[in-house]
Amino acid sequence: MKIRQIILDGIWFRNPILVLGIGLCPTLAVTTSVSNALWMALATTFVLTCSNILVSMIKNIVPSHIRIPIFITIIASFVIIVELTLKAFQPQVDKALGIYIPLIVVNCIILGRSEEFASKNSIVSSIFDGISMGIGFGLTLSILAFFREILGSNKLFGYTLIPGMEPSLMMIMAPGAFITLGFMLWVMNVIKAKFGNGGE
Amino acid sequence: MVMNRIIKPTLILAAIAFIASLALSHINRITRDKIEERILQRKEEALQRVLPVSLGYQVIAKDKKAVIDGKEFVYTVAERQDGENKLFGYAFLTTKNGYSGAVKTMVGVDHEGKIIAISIIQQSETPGLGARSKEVPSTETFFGHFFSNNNHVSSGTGSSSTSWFEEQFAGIDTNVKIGILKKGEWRKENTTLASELREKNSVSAITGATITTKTVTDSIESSMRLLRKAIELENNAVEEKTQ
Repeated sequence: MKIRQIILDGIWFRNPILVLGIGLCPTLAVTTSVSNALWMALATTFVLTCSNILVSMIKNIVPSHIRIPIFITIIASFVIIVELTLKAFQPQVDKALGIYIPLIVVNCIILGRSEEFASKNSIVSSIFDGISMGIGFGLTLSILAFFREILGSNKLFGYTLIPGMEPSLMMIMAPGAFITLGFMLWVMNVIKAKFGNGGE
Repeated sequence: MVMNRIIKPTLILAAIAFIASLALSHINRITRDKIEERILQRKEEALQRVLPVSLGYQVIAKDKKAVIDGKEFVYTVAERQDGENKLFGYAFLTTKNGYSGAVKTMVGVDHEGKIIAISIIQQSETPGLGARSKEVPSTETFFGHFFSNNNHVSSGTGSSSTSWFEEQFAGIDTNVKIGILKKGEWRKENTTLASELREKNSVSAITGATITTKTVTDSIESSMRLLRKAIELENNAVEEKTQ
């Protein structure tokens, strides 16, 4: 498999959120501000890439019927590393993301990529898969958060945009996330219909 | 056969678990000091908030220890000048398990046992429900920036990071039971609600998170009992010395 194809797959053709439809819980929960979304994307990409590397390294020595507990152990270890590091060096981020950092363990993107990709492919391909899936996840989150932060709290990166304007409260809550995600899917499908679904 | 089906997977699982715990203990050793430092720093800030210098409180004895019923109780004593008299204020950290995990609250009380301020320094309650105990009123976060000269910014001890839930504890009498009313969000502007709560010595519960609210009031009440005993013990000791 070509590296170029892996990268395009992660970002566009097999985008974890918009195409595969996995990892929606953190997507809807942390996209209330762009900086939250970026930190979440960074944490997830780190865990995803590291666990992909390890899973790919041990894929030949792990008997298939115990692979799931092993994958989960690997993923959980990296998540704890991220959690402790954020607690120690970025307490504000830790406070803002709260419970969603430990919940990366159960993010289906990570277990899904271990199972579907890393346990069947080489280390180098797995690294690129982790990074590109992470970028795809991060881009989707950032775009979602961009609209929600502007419309929902009249801010961008924490700076207020139009003084005195009352923001739409709905956008900052769950329905706003669903609606924005729906619009993003629509735009993506329009583009795909125009330029073809060149992935598969 | 047995070797392949049982022993080998067991060994592999054990090896992976061993490596993982080794790595995690190493990370823990690197970050532990930093995390403890942050917690200490938060404690320090909370202490300044519940025994504010703006009210004239000066800390005179930090982390005093008293043994009550075989248990250690730690509290801080401050004093302020009120005309001729010196009035004491006390602060203590109280912990009780809430809906999910410990809720740690720093509480400051004056010489009469009335709460000066409280500050929740650690909680892991449900986001959107119990975690709202730390939530600052939305009008302040949105507009405080622009109307900072207006009366939107809360006065007194209420720095921008004090939530309405914490703010409403100011003035509550800890000598009698602290009640809980389900009247919705407390606001400084809503004087009818504020005076009703004050009359009944009650706080307004967080909607959908009465457990969290009760945790905080219960922990304050139980620690106040300890504080009263600790003060008594100390006074007795002083009397014995003078006699």
